[in-house]
Amino acid sequence: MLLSSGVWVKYTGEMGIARDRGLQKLIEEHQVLPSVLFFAGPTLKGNSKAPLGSCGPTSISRMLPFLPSCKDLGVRLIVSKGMSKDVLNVLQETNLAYGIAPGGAGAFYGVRIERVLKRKYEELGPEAFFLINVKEFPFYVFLGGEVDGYFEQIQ
Amino acid sequence: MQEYLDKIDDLVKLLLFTPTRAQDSLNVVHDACFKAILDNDMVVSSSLKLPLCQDTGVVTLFVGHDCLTKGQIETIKNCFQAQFNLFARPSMLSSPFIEQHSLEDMQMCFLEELRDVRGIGAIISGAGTEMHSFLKVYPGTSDFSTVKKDILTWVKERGALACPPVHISIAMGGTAAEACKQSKMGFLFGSNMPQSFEDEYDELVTSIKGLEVDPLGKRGNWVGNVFLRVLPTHISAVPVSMSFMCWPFRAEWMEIAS
Repeated sequence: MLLSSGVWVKYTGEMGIARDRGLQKLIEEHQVLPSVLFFAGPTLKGNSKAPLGSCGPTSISRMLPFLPSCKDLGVRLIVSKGMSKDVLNVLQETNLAYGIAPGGAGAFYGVRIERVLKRKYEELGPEAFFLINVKEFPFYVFLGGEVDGYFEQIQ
Repeated sequence: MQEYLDKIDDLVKLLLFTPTRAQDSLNVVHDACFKAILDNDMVVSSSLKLPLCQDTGVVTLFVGHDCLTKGQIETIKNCFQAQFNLFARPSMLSSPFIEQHSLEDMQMCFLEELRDVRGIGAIISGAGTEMHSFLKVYPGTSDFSTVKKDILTWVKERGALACPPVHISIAMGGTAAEACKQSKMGFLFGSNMPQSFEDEYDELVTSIKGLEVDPLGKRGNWVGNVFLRVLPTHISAVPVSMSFMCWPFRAEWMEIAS
């Protein structure tokens, strides 16, 4: 699906959660990554409605060195928080779509996670990798692009 | 001491689930979807006891007293840590860079004792704001306009990265260490400056509110409060520190009657 820039959408489907050390390990091991990647680090103190606990976006700025490798390993859309000239330059150079989720909305995004399908590098705690299913997970499309998945525009 | 211990449960809940001033931040949100998400975040957080923000950060605990012993303060700190760790993300490592291991559910807080007020409070420093802290020591011959220019440049470059709506606290004077501490304390106790600074402060606030600080890159200004704290300073070295506070405004102070 072609995601247009400058609109809010909600996504339902599979996505990966990664950040910092976990992301670095995935790249070092040349793991195949899901096409939608959410930069986040959950509290890991969940309940029946939020399996990973509170789980809002973390800053994309720390992940910039990893973005070209993310693209090579299959990622097409990053959902994270933060925007600056540096962020924009790297995203445009790597030709990745970028969705902005409101920073600090951990409880809100925590309950958008329906199931945890896979966990990797659990010893890294909140920096581990998680493959999850989300339902109606909203974000603002800052940079659009071609991304596989079910996206619904929010009017 | 019991009155301090009695407040810890409420203090932790305020910090993590229902920060007193989070709602105020929504007044400077300029996007309906963004606002709806933050509104809903507050509802989910308080009803499910999930931290409003997953980055429960590093905490500084403030204990204001005139009679507690060192042992009593240690007990207060330990009780706070135990309660906080029930809900907090294991974000802390034992040390920077070398021989690191996770503190898991034994995260510690830093302690500040205050002797001119009675009460207990805390500030959460998440990475999203901490990464954008500012500290610079100016020569005594510098002027306010130089500092103002640096602050505006910093806010313009960094503000949108610090989980807007952001609040800003600036401290001028003291030592470098004191300026950093006071810039954080602005979030607990607000501004504190001589009358002679009021015009410059007003101009600074107006200038900050004119900057583009917009997490969606739509050229809006999502800055809430701007605090200024001014201290006596060295004749030739004037430290200036600035801290950002993210929208949940996780800084709480609870007074204890004398």
